Amino acid sequence: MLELRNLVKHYPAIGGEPVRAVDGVSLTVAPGETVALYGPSGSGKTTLLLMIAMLLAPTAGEILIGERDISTLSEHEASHFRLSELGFIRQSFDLLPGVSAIDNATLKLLKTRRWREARREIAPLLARLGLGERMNHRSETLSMGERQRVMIARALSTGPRLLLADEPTGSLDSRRGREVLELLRELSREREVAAVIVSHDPMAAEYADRVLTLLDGRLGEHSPNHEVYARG
Amino acid sequence: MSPLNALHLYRVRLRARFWQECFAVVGIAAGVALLFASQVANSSLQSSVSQLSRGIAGNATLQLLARDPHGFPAATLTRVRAIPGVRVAAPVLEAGAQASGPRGSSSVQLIGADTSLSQLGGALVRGTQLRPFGGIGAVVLPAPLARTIGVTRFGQEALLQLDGRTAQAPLYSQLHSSQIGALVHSSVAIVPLSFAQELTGLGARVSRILIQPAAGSQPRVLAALQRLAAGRENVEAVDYEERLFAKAAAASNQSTALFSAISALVGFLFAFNAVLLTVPQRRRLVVDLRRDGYEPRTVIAVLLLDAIVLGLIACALGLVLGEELSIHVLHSNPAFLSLAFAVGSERFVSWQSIAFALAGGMGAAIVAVLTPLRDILSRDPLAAIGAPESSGGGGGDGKSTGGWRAPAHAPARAALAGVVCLVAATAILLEAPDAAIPGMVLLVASLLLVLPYALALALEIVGRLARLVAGVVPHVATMELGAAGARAVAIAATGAIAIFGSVAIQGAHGDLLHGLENAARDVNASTDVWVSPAGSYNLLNTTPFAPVDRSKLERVAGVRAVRLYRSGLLDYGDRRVLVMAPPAQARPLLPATQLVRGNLRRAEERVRAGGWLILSQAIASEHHLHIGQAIALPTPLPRQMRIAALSTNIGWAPGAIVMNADDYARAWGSGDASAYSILLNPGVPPARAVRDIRRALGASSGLAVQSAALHTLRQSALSRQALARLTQIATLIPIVAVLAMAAAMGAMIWQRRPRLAKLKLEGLPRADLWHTILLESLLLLGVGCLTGAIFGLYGQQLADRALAQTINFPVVYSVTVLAALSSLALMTATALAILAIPGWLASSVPAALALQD
Repeated sequence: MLELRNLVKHYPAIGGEPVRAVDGVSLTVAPGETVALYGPSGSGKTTLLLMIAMLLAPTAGEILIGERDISTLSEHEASHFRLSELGFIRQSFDLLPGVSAIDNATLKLLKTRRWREARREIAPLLARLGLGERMNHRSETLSMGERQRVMIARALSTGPRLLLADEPTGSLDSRRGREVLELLRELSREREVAAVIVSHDPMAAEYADRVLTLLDGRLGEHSPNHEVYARG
Repeated sequence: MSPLNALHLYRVRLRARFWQECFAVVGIAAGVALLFASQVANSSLQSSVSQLSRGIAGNATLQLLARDPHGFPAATLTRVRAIPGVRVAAPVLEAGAQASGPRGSSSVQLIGADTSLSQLGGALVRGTQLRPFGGIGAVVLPAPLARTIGVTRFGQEALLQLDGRTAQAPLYSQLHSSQIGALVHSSVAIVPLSFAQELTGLGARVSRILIQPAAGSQPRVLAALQRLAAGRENVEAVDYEERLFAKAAAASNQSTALFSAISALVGFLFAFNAVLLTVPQRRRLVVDLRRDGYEPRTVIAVLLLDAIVLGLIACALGLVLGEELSIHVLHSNPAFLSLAFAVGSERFVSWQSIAFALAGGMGAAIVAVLTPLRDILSRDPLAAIGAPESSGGGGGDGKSTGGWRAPAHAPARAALAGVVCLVAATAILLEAPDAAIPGMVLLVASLLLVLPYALALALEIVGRLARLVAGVVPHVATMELGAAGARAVAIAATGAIAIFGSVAIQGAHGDLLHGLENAARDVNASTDVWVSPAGSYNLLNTTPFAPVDRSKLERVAGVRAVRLYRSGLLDYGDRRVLVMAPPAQARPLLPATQLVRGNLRRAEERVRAGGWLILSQAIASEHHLHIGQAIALPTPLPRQMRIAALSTNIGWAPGAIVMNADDYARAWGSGDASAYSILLNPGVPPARAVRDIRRALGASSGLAVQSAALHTLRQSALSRQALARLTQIATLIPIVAVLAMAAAMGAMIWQRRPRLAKLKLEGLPRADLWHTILLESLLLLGVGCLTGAIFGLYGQQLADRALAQTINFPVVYSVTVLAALSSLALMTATALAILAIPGWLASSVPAALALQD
């Protein structure tokens, strides 16, 4: 379970009030629950994700994974957290070129497992993601949708408790976008992963258990309007 | 787009990529500098000889040249001047000498001439005093030489030692560069002819007459001169000395040319690597321009402008650096050749050297900047950044077999071509060793073609090994390297070529030096002490002198025998051959290590008996001569002799002839000695004998006494000096290569920071990223350097065989595996140590950077 308690991130500004990028956000995401987070550019979405992924230290507040506050982890501990407890999916497909889909997907597993073991472990998930026939194909020969599914496989490979997705459908057409969102919802439910999807895509709301909006660093209930969906 | 707009676009874009462009400029400049400096060093010696020869001869086109070191009667001049069509005939007397003063001494070429030489208009003697000053002989010295020996004031006396004589010569004047240009660096001493005749003790004799025929009279004058010479003197064009020098320096020039080419290749790869750094930005520019509707032609023009600006700035910087490099590091050193030719220490910068360096620099810039050419010409405007317009992808031909990428077909095909080149190089090694340069080129081509496959294979092996262990480092390293493509191969190629050059040069250099030292030791093995005219110009004992009273030497305590040794230089065809004539009793007459073909015992018996000689194989091959055949030697008294055996060149590049001392005296028509070979009683220390012999000869004899061991050491030292340039190049190449590889890899690592950030985002800790970078570097450097070292050892055999078979040097063959391994280890370790710092800094990239795209 992910719990944010009064999370704050202020950036100092020269000769003025500090910029309140995230201003007292409290949120709980239960295991298996998918939360879609909307917000215009500059609303603090990325800052919030960076803090949850322990890539940015909060000014105040707590980030709890289960009972543990991760906001005070050292750099090494934070790396370990990202490796084993967090899955991160991004809009850009950071697959290694020239490397097969399955080997791209095993990247995180290789830290602790042997190559053959890692491949054995990831193969069912790739098959589940519809890549059973394509897992030995090099990344540059995959379609955008397939690449995104490889990223999902990599993110889920270590059995994380938390999944963060930053614009996961940003580069996909609506059909492939729907497929990816469907898969994300299914897998997070199946594996009891707390998932946070940051998106501008109105479609994401359809696949979320809850929809929230971030405006000026503050969290609020979602009220669909064009301003929120508009890309920055 | 107009050129002005293209220039404006360049300026605007420069702000965003200033440091990458600076790095590219430095990279190209380093390559240009290396290329330029090695070219200048290579051409300076030949230019020096040519300039000096022309500086003396001026407008003369023919010369009557004495075969005898004692010259021919000056009265011949009258007969030459009487030939119809002769416009100017100028007598010259030349001799090797040692000039000394209060600050030091130097080997010089003494040039004695009269005022008629000035009429030929040669730069060296134009305006020089060639008339005895007030009836007293005086010497004119180039200013640098005068400073070296410390004789700079009018009337100050220089000590001249020549032909076993010693004389004082007052300074008349110094020649400055404002008068004679680059010739100011020549080691010459100019004196009036009569004074030269007095100094040499030759009386009214000259060593050559320079002739300027009247217009249209050249054939008539040539025919008349040949009749006059009657086969006892040589009639040659005035550039004869240049031709002889070119032949003598051929080995050195060829090897330096080859290694200049290797330097050039390293420089080119350095430049290419450097420019590749800016390729990503240029690819984005290509996309922007194509997307905005510009034709590929316009895009190419914009990129060409980039290349021209980059290339011009870099070439200018490179020429300045190269100039410094050629002055301070890559000196021209005539060494052994200065014993037979008047060679100066001046540097000549020819337009060819500049053009070659400029072409290399501009070529590297253009080739590298136009790397995305295929993408520019593509119909897909986004091809340059590899982003397909349609995301359908998923073709079925991209299947990766067995996990990590196996060696693709392209490297395998290239490797096959590489093997073909290797087979061709082997054929040259076995069948045509004289084609060493094409052989080396084939070997380098083979190396470059094989390298991508070697790299792919190494990645495959490491990838497979990585499967056996848990840990992400080897996997990521092999994946990243597999994806690096041309950049990785270019970096590995830089190391490979550098190690190849270094191992081949240093190996062949060591084998040649070893062989030359053996030859020097062997030649000196038949004596204990040498007595010969003093002066470093006479290291080969080629200067004749009137025999002294032998009983003086025989009476010295501990002396067992005093034998007369004769030796000299003989112009035979285009070769200035060393003729060695030991006394018939000498044992051995020819050291066994120098024999190439024939029966040594029988050959020695025949040479001792007289009428037979031993000839270098290279001369025999050139003139299609074989053992038992008669050869007509162009000696002062021409003689027919028969060939008893074939030898190496005994360390003298143009070749050597061994005959007995009596035959030499008959062929040269002189009973003069070149040295005394003194044998000591067993147990007599040579140092004591040397001291006693010096005392017996007296201080003013003009003869030097030295033990055979010391003489060997001096000859070996000169050999080392002669090969110094190769050593310098062999040292410089790896240094430049290490810097090139470290810089290119450092920049490549730095550019990868966003990718490293993404790996960090996946949870890879900093230490893992750093280890990944180090492993990648180790793999790249290790594979490149190892492949280079293996090919380098092969190149060493090719060079050895060429030196032994073609130039006939007494090379000692070896395979310097240990030296190759130590070069490989040192270079890899140094580059790795340098890379550890940018690697560590890059691995500290914040993971948040991954989200900023």
